[in-house]
Amino acid sequence: MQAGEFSDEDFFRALAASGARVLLIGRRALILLGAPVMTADYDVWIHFDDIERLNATFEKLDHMPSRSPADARSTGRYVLENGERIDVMLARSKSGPAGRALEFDAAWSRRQKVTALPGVEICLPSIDDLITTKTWGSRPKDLIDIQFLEALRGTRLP
Amino acid sequence: MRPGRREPDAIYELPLPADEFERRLRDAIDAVNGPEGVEMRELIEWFRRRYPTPLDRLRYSRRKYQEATRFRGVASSARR
Repeated sequence: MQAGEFSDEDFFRALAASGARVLLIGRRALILLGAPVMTADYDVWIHFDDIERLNATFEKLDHMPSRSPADARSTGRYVLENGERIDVMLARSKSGPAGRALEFDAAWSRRQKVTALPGVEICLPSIDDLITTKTWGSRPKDLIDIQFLEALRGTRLP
Repeated sequence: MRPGRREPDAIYELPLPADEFERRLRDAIDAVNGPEGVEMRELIEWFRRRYPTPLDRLRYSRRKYQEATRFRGVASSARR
């Protein structure tokens, strides 16, 4: 591992320790659930009020926000970056071109927990809500992810 | 890159118009109920069996991503 990078273990411990309401979304969520896909970065969706908590935790891992909390709140997203890249979305509610809206609070209330490390649980949206997040990009690659999510439906993590 | 010619990755990443995406989405979900879905479920079962923990799966995915990136670099140099 090079300077400025962190391990997946560090990432999960930091998320859990932050106390922020944070949902892991994107392809890393699919991989955790068991879909063999590839990605370069982390995507998370956090509660509008928890941005400072998340930033404080990742500052300890030398990862800095690309925008101030005020700017991030007005644009709805920012990046925590250094050796790793974490896309952070903080919209209270989001919808895509096809009009599928999802509110953070609703997704949070339906969240599923995955044991990422012994004693460390990570929150993911439900399968249905993950599918909704995947419709927002409207890209062909999202269709493959949605197929994997449909195939994951009803399976249980071993 | 020649004008008008897109890299395969770009096409894969390019957002579709909403109605086109919805049409393809319906087809994609239908396909999961057929042989394609059986194959995907088998792939998921293998992935979970071979890499039983979330960390194992993430490490595998990182390794494959790096391999794919290296391969793309070699292929793109060869095209120049």
